[in-house]
Amino acid sequence: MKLDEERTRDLAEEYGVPLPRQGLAGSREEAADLADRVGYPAVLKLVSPDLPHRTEAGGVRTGVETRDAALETYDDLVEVAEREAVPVEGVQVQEQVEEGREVIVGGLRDATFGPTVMFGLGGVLVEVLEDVAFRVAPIDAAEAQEMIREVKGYPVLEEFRGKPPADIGAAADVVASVSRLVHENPAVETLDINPLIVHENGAVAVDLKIAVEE
Amino acid sequence: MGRPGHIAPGMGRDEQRLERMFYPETVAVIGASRERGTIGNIVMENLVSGEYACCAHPVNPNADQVLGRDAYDSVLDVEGDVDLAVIAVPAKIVPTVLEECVEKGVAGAAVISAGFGEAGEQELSRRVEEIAEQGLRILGPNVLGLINTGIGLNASFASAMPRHGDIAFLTQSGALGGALIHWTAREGLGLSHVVSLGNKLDVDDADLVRYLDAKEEVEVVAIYMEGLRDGREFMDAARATDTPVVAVKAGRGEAGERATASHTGSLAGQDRVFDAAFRQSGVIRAHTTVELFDQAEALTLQKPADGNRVAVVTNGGGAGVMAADACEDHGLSVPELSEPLKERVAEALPGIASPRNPVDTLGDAGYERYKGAIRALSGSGEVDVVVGIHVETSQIDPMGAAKAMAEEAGRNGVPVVSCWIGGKGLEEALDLMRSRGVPHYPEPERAVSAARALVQQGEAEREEGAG
Repeated sequence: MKLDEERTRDLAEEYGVPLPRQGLAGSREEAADLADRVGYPAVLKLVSPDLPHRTEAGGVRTGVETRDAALETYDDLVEVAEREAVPVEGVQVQEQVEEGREVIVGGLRDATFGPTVMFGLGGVLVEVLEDVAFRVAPIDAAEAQEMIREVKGYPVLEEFRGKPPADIGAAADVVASVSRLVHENPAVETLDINPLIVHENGAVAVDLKIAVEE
Repeated sequence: MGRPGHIAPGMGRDEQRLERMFYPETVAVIGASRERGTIGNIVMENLVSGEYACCAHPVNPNADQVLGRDAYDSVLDVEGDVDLAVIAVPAKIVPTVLEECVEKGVAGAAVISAGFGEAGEQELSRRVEEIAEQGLRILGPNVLGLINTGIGLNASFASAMPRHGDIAFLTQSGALGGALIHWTAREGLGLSHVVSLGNKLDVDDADLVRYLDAKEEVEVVAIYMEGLRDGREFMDAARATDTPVVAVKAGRGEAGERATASHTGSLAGQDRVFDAAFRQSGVIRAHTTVELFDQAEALTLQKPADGNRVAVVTNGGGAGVMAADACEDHGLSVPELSEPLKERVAEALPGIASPRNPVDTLGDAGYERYKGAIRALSGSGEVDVVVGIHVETSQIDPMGAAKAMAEEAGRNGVPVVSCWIGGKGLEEALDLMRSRGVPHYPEPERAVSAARALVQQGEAEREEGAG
């Protein structure tokens, strides 16, 4: 069973998994205030239980650069909801995460060893190449660094094609946090961060999903 | 033969029971048979004809005597204490027989009988597990039995006794274990114990890794494993033991997993996780049974390496290149030597030889060149393990290289593993390697894999020391 968003965020916060700054706005003023808080550019997303293909319907707007743009975008998203005839729960206002190296971090309950943690490079090839490393949880950040160095694609995290090196330490902290989270919460069956965007300084878990026992 | 003080005061109850299983004064063979070739007959034969002169009592309600010994109707009728019961009766009556063992106060039972979880008989398995909780240690079911060569005990249906030695061998597969007893004997490898674990309903790898750690005669534990019921328990035991553990984990792919699932009733875990778990708990992973014993043997003969820097010394360039390739495959470094070290190595060699790593001593290299080169390398602080290779040539007697390796192995804390490529002309050299405790292999790749085991054991011990 998928853990709801609020509890997912709470768990992430408790274990220090960095998520994009965000909030849910119920009015255009609230949306603008939130955008001020998360910083520009911001992303605004229509939140509705009946809109499965939100991006295709025009319910996600990136690159919102100013407070005025945030006010306008809020109105646009409400119009989208009217056009699609779906109810509106609100508008999610989120920090727009800068580009960086995409990696995946996972937690998995293994039949033999119990909670484990996984690290791999992100992108479309991860499932084909299976270039991932595992550890039995929990592990500390030093062990997580070692694990990150184990994947064959590791050199792309270092200085690569003119890009500065990614913050391996920040990625390792997330891996170690996830390992503690799955170890200390037996109800968590799987955890997926895909992607974790690793910047020159710091890392952000752009998409975090947790599945728990029924 | 008695138990010379084996039940020490500090032993826990479970350990005491294992001790009585491996050093039994009295063994009951339940299902002992007069019919030649049956398992119940072979086990009885092994117990009465071996050097272990214990009281082996046949239990068989349909026989008066088996192999000249009076048979009992039930284990309950045997006089005095029974330490070990070896059970070879149909699966259906195993629970009844085990309950009688509990009533009798038997310390442990090796259940050879098959037809439990591996055959879909979950209910029978469950009953065996319940009985194990009443204080009887149960090995199996679906096992070959157990062997303790130190006292000449063969409580199994293996047709041969292994050579006595210091490798304890645990095997999930009984049939493979039985075959490897023959193979190790042919290879000249010595075993201290052979324990077939089968379905692992009670006694498992973790129990035995812990138990064997206290045994002085055990230098290394070698495991053939298809799955574990409790991975963390095994990791804890492996972390806690001072005895090196080498394991081959079979069932890596989907097809292998299907085979192991039907074979032992346990699900083979995901291979990558096993890899990680072994690494995290200092277990050295072998990928074939040959590699398992190659590595185990190296660990019994040489000290662990202080790092992963390998120097290759060879009188044949090709063998050196293959060794260097193998080092790369195993994650070992073959470092470039410093200029001063190259000079010292060159002093031992003729002018046209290469002092670079791999060090090529040329085809006619004898004692002086090997000795000089290995000594310079081991004393340099630039090298943690030496792979010494000799290829048989018409130009030189291999005994020179052999004497040099035997003398230099372990000097400055640098272990030597050796590789000998050739035929009958090498026998004297190999005898010297055996008598002087230098592991020797017929291929560079196998020697390098043995070196990897010494490197990993060193890492595991340093990690243990740091943690």
